[in-house]
Amino acid sequence: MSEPALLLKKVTKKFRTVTAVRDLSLEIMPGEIYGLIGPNGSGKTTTIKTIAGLYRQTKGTIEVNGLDVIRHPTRSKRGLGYIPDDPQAYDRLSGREFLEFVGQIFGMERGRRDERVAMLLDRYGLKDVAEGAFGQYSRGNRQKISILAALLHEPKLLLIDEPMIGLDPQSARITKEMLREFASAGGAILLSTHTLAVAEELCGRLGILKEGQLIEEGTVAELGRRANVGHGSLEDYYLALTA
Amino acid sequence: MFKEVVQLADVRRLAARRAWREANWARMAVAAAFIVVGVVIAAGVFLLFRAFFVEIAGATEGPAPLIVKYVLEASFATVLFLGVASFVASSIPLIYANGEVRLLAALPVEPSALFMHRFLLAASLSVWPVLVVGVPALAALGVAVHAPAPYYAFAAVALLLLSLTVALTGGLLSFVFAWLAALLPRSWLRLADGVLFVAMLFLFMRQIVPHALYRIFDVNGAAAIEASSQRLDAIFGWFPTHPLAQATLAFTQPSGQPAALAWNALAIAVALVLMTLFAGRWYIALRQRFEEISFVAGYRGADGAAKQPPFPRLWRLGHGYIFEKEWLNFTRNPDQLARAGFLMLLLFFCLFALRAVAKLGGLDEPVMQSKAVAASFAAIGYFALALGLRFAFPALSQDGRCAWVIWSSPMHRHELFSWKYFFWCAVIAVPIIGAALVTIRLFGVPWPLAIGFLTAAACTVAAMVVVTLGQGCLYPDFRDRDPDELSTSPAGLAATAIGVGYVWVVTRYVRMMTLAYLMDGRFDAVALFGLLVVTVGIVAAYWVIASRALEHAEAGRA
Repeated sequence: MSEPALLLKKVTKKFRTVTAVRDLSLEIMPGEIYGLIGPNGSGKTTTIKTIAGLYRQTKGTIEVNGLDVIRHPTRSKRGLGYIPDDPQAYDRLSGREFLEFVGQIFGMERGRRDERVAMLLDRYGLKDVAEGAFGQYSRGNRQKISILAALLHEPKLLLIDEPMIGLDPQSARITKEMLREFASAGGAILLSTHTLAVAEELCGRLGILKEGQLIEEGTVAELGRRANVGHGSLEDYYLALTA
Repeated sequence: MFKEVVQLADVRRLAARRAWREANWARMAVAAAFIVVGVVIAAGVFLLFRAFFVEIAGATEGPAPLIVKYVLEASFATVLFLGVASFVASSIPLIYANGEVRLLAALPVEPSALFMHRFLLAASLSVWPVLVVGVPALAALGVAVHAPAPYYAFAAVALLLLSLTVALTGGLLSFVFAWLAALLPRSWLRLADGVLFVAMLFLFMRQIVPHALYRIFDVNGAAAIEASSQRLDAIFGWFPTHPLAQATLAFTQPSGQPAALAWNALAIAVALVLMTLFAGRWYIALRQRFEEISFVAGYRGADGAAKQPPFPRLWRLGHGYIFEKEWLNFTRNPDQLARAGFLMLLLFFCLFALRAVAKLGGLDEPVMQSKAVAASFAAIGYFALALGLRFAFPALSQDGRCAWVIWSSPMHRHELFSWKYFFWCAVIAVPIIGAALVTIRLFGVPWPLAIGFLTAAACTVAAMVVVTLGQGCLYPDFRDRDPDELSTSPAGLAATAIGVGYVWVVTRYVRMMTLAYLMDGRFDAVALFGLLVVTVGIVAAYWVIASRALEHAEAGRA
């Protein structure tokens, strides 16, 4: 059996007196899309930022593709792509320059990088747009460029914080297709969202976070059984389980 | 209109009051420290002027009245020059391209009231030369000649009118600049900025400190003095500050013209009315044009324009793409460029002013010459610190909400520090080494000493950038994106204190080197070694501490 793409063991993250994440354990296998849902302030974004290396966990261990993120920070990040909740990048660079910059940071070979940039821009039809300054983009185009930046270096694990905000229906569909293709090619995805329809559509398993703790985990059907509300949607299960 | 202007000002006053109440002790301490620094500078200028006036103003015969007249005219013209440059540098982001203006323009506010509100804001930010040069100069003159009480009331009115003259001239120039910015391509505008900057500095210095300045004062007999006085009138006659200087002189010299103050007040009132009418008609249209320059849908590639070459274009060595990213961010940001240009303007102005003062004091004596060279170096060091604080200190924090890009990548943070350091050293070295070369030329520094002077300038760049960037990395603030606010934090104040200490030490070494060469004709290698040791020590210490701190820093906390 292959090793988990992401493994969290009893991870706690404290900010001075506030405990944002408490004893969180998770395991995501290659090819799996795992959804993290929960109320505002439940610790979803903190969890993702800690895995991505923006924060350092207070306790516990995090392994990305078998590599401890504290002991091997750079090697573990080589196989990781991150899409933030607020897709800001350097305002004075064009979208294409930004993607090329990201390719450089991840040490991509120039020919491969340019080929991937062209191919990915084509997916959203952003070739012309990508020549304009990032600071002039709409929210949706910023989101698209940051999705492409995360996919550019062909990571094994994708961390996504709210993937669909600002996207038009056509772009949302393309995004979902790309994420499914990524997973079917063996990539793992940890996706945090408030859009339960997206979570239900994409995720094989879901975890519900509340006050920094994982209170439920399982497939939509398993959550439904535990919620004990009869037939309903993920929204009904979620509301019952977080009440 | 006046009611609306007062209402808008009141909103700002309430916001400032709330900010003051919510400020923690550290911020209040920083604010107090900066006020103290300002008062100390003004007090220093006052003492300098007073010493000069006491020596010269007592004499009523010979060239003394001419020198007083020259100093007063030159001081007023300097205030005008610095104030207008400051106004123009801050006016585009304050009056034309500003988030708050965008919001207010969508509300039913009179255009003239909105313009006047922003104009007064920009004017209040460019009043500092009046406080630092104008007030000390007139106060010192009053003290030196034992002027009666009405003099001070008269001087206060003159300074108020001087502030308004600065703001009106700045307002007019910034309008022309904004109009050109809305019309011309960016590249042309940047070129025009650069040319204008150099031309203004050159013309201004040539006008205020003409060749053979001493000849104006080397006069005997009433006819020669009258001729020199007329020459001074010809030099300063075209400055809008001339009537104010003439009026102020009325208390110390018979040639003064007190009535000029009334005429000046009348001209300013007329100009204010015209500007208000003008703003009511054109301000909104101009602001809208400015807004359309960066219209969201205006992609460069959409109209078939040529694709930019692949990134990075120039800096391919190692992590040179960080260097190039910083370069593009800097050179494509007009606000940053304007600030950098303004600081450079002040630096070169300061050097020319020091040269003029040294010339008046006599440069033949080695002690005096070494003092003048050391003072010029201190000015260069101070500006290296100012540039470091304004640009290198916020360099990491300004990544702000983009910090995720590098923090989530496999790049070592110490490499990020190194490349940011290389970049800001390269950028800040250009004006600082340039200023050092200008100083060498102005003072005719012999070449062995010039090498020592240039080494000291290069060391100062290395040290100031490591201190300011290092402090910024030790205490990053990813929420606050305003670089001015970032650098006036407690960490910025600490960087200022360390930087001032370093400049003081290195200035002493420069003075030792200069004095040893001028007195004995020998090169003081010990002083050079001392400054190298101090620099290597400070660079190594900050490099290690800041790089380590960065490895453990957290990014993106909201």
